[in-house]
Amino acid sequence: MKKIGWYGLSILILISFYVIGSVIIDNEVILPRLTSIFKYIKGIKGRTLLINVGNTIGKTILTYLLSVVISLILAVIATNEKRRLIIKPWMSIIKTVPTIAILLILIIAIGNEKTVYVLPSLVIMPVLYENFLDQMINVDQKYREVATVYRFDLKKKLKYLYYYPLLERLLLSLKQTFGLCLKVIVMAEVIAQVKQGIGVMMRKENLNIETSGVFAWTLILIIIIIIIDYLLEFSTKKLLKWKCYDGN
Amino acid sequence: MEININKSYGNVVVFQDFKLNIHENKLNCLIGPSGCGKTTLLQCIAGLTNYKGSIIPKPEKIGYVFQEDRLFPYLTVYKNLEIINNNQDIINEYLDEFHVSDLRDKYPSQLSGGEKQRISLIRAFIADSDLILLDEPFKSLDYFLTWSLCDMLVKLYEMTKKTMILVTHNVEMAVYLGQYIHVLSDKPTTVKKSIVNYQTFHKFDEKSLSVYDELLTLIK
Repeated sequence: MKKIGWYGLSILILISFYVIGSVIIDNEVILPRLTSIFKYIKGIKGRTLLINVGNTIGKTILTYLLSVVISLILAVIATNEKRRLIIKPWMSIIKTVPTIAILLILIIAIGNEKTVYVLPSLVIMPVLYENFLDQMINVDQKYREVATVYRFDLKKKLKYLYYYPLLERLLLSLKQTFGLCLKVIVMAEVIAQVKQGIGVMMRKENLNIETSGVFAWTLILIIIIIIIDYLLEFSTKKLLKWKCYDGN
Repeated sequence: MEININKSYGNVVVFQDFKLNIHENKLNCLIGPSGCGKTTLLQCIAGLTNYKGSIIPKPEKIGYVFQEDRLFPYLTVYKNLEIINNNQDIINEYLDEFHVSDLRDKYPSQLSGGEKQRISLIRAFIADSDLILLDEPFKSLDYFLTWSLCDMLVKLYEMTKKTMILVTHNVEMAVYLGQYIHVLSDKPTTVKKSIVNYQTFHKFDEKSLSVYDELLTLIK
């Protein structure tokens, strides 16, 4: 069976389990039926969908860009061993403190709206920082020697020893970290009670005990993540052409 | 070029009062036992490692063919050459001359071992260099490919007449390519003997065989 066949079969089994489960439980508040979820989605106004989805995605892109810039700056600073040691405990704290604790502290410290931007940055920043730093301090000695022998100037060194490998690292980790960023933003939207976003709608439906609404927005989120994953994979293949031929 | 250097790695003395005369515009071959410091010597000349002593005149511009191709994996063949010399005419001339024009838009991962090393050779020669260093460039290639690349090297030498230093373990190759063959001893390394070889760039004959035998005796 082709790959797509196995993928389709797995989705079919998943849906079947859900349908059987919802029939057995027979309680719309605990596990709403698929028909209720689709009915809810059908009832969402185009404008509401656009505003909330657009808001969450906009926040994700902005936060992600912010994290990339901060991580890159920190990684450049940390290429020096002494400075790296200064940054290390801060990163360890950010990595080890539970996300929910950071969220609660941030809400008190900087308010609800800003928390939605800062929290995901703090969650994905250590991952990006470590990726960037690892790439920067482990530039292949072989290529360093090529740069020395052929007397590369600073611009050439930055471009060919750092830029391309960093771009490769970023794009390869993008799929994993962007999805994580989106999920953390939705979580922050739910808890921080901001004005708009997918998380806000989930919270609203949860308060109204409209579980089919919560499931519907979750389904919308899943579809968005699948589309983003596909777009990222497509653009990664386009941008990292040389990777397509690896292993030939 | 006169080399007079000392070099140690911790307690291991690689070169102690090591002296070697490299002949200008000739193909100089270095042959010796494994680990005697042939690669280290090339690294000293290229400025890739520190040493005490002098290399006079100090080469300003160098072309280096490493044991592996060391082409940037994220650049096409053409771009790999362009970052060394941005003169399109020179790049195209070399690509055409060595029948590798069809590889220009390919990435290194799309090339075979022989093709990669062909491009590495071209890269070293298009660099506006005074000296070409070749560190066992055909080490991982099969017999026929090795000799085909040796012929390419001869052609490149005849086109440019640049000073070359070739490190090899292959005695046959040393006889075929080395106009001056410097036989090195084990550590601390010295030059056992420098042989002037007139049997280069042609098929093996009796005279080549006598150089071959002499080299074998010296290496043993």
